[in-house]
Amino acid sequence: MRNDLLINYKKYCLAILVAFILGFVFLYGSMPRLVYGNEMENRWNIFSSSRYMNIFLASIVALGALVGSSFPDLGSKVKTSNYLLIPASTFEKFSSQFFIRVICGAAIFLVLFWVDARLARAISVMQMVDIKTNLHYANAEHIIDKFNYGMIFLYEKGISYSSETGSPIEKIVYYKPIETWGASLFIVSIGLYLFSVKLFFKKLGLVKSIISFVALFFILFLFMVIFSHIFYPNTVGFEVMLPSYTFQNGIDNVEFWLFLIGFVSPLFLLPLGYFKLKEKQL
Amino acid sequence: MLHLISGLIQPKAGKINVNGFVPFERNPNYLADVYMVPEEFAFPPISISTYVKAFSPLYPNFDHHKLRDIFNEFELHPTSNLNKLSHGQRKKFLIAFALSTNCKMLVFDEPTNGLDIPSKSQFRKILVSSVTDEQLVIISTHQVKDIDTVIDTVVVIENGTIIYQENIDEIAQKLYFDLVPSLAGIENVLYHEQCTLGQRIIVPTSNGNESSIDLELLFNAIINKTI
Repeated sequence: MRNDLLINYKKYCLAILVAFILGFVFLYGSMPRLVYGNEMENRWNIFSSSRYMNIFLASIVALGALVGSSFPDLGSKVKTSNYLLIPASTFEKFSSQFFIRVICGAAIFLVLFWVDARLARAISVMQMVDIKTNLHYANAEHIIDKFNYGMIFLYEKGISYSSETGSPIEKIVYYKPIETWGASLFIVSIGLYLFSVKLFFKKLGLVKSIISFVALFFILFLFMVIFSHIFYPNTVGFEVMLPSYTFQNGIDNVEFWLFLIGFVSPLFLLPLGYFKLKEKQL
Repeated sequence: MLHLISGLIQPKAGKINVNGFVPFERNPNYLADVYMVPEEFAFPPISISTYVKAFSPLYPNFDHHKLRDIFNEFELHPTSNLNKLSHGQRKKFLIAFALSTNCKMLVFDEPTNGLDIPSKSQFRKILVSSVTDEQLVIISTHQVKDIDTVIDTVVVIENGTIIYQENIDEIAQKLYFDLVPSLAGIENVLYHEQCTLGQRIIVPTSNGNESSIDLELLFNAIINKTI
């Protein structure tokens, strides 16, 4: 790992700087800085958790690119030879890439996004102007929510009005834990898939991985179609019959199935990648 | 063969054991004692000193003094960026690094390819002065004349099979290499090749006379199965 950091530290520093700047530009560019009238009139303009999450998910592509560039030395025969002959165990080689690209990459990404989001909000709030008065908007902090990672669990936040008294009531609805964890693990699965790309494909790893990922989904879809035809004879064409029911503890069967896919596949990907590296030949 | 020894490929049949290690297992202790200088190589875009700083700690017997001496001999500067050096200079750097690791086994694949004439001479000189009796140096080359003064055992492999293996001293005791104007009157010629000055010949040694070994002629004789 020391070896990797000594050689690539400039590249990593540059990547962090570029990610920081792009993240800021992206977030700052998306935040409103012009408002009209009072808070009620600006409800459509509120920069809430859902908008943060949309940008967060789009930014994860950048993290995917970093993770997908793991094992850069396995791209050519000459570099592969050098890499395999470095006096370190396969476990060290594998874990150093995993630590740098996945653990550190994800941690730095989360910190950068948080800093970018807070910074972009602070500047946007300072610059927010009411078009009506052409003055700084006093309630600017209510227009842009303060970012925190609790928002991942937040489905909806808004204000409803009591039918009896008419007074405003803050309404907060969270995602079900299984939805949040299922989605998070699904992202982790994709990340681990990208991490192992170079171990399976020598050239054009990212492109081939995307193709194979799509192919895997297509195969899964075909299986679903076949099972639908077997268990539900009324199925027509490529229709997928996936009846939904709820377990006693309130968990939906489809959610549980997706959760299993998200949770189980990383368990296979990591050891598979390790043994692939161990058995790597020139 | 070099790839098998260094653990880059797995044997299709049989087993390989080098100093108690199975090369393909790529045990770090084994890799720390084997250094391979490949024919083709690539470096990250860093300076020589950064490369040395990054990779030398991986070789427990690395000798920085030796490296500095070889750098002086090869006229290499630690501040130079590896990717801005010529192919020959990069090869010289790799040879210098390999020799400084003091690995028990050094594997050179076409080490003189890309070196100019003075550098080839420097390479021979440095190799002879750097390597100890505890070290084994395997050189694979097509440029046999470049290394004829530094080898002590000749192994010729054809289609994966060793067809000739002999110590230099034994070859000198058995065979006599000569340049003659013509073959007239010369008996027991084992192999001959025409050249501008006449004939290069190999004959059995007689009366204990020894000659310098013409490795190229010897190789051609082996390939033509006259020896």
